[in-house]
Amino acid sequence: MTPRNDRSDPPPPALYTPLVWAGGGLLLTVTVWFTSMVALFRGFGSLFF
Amino acid sequence: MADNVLKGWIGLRTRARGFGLPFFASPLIPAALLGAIGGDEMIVAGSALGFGLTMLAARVLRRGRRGDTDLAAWIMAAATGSAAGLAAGMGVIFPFVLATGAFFGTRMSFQALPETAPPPPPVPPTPPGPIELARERVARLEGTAMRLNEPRVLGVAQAMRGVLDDLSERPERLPQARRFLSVHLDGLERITERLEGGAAPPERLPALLEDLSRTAGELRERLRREETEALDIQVKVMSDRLREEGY
Repeated sequence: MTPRNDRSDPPPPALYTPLVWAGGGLLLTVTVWFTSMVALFRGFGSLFF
Repeated sequence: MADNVLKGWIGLRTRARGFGLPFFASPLIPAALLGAIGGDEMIVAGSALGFGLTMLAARVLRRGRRGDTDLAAWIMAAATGSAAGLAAGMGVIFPFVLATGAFFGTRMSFQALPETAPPPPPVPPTPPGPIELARERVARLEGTAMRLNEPRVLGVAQAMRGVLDDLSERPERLPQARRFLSVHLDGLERITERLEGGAAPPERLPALLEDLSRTAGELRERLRREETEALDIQVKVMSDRLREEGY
C-alpha cells in the first residue's frame, strides 16, 4: 500500500505580489507617514500658539 | 526565472519583516518632543501611543507566526487612529479612515511572506497513577500514626508501603493488588480517623492490625512467587526453543 501524502505544498506566490507590496507601502505612507507629519507640524505649532 | 527572483525577494523581505514599520511612524518622536516643549499633552500622548503601538506591531511581525500579520495590521490601525485623533487633531471620522488605510496597508505590505505554525499548547501534567495515589494515602497514614504514637498502625502502613514498592517495580501486577490496597487502605484510614477522633482502641484492634500486616506480607510473597514462576516458564520456553532450533 502506498502511503498517502496528506501534506500539500502552498501554492507559489503570484507574480504580481511585488505590486501588492508596493501598494501596501504606498498606503502606509499616505496614512501612517501622513498622520505622523501632521502631528509633527502640530508639535511645531504648539511652540508658537 | 521570475519565480526564483520572487522567492529570493520573499526571503529577503521575510528576514527584514517589520523593520520598516517604525520608519513610517518616526516623525512621531520629534512631534512628541515638540509637543512636550510646547506643553500640549494631547500631542505627547498621541505620539507616544502611535509610536509605541507601531513598535509593538513590528515586534509581532518579527515573530512571524500564523495570524501575526493580521494582528500587526490591527495594531497599526490602532496606532494610526490614536495618533491621528490625539496628536494630529483630525477630529473623529478622519482617524478611522486613516486607521482603515493603515490596516490594509500593513496587510498588503506583508502579503505572501511565510508564517510559521503557532507552538503546540503545553501538555497538561499527567494525573498521578493509582500507585502514586496509594503512596500519598499511606504517607498520610504514617503521619497520623506518628502523631497518635501508634506503632502498630505505623507497622501496617510500612507493610503496605512495601507492597507499593513491589508494585512500582512490577506495575503489571497492579490488578491483582488493587482490591487489597482498596480494602486495606480504606479500612486503615477509617481506623486512624476514629482513633484521631478520640476513640478508645477496642480489644480486637491489635489482632486486626496484626492480620493486616500479615496479609500485606503474604501479598508481597505471592507477587514475588508469581514473578519467579513467570521467570521459570520463560527459561523453560527459551531452553525448549534453543533445543528445537538445534543450537
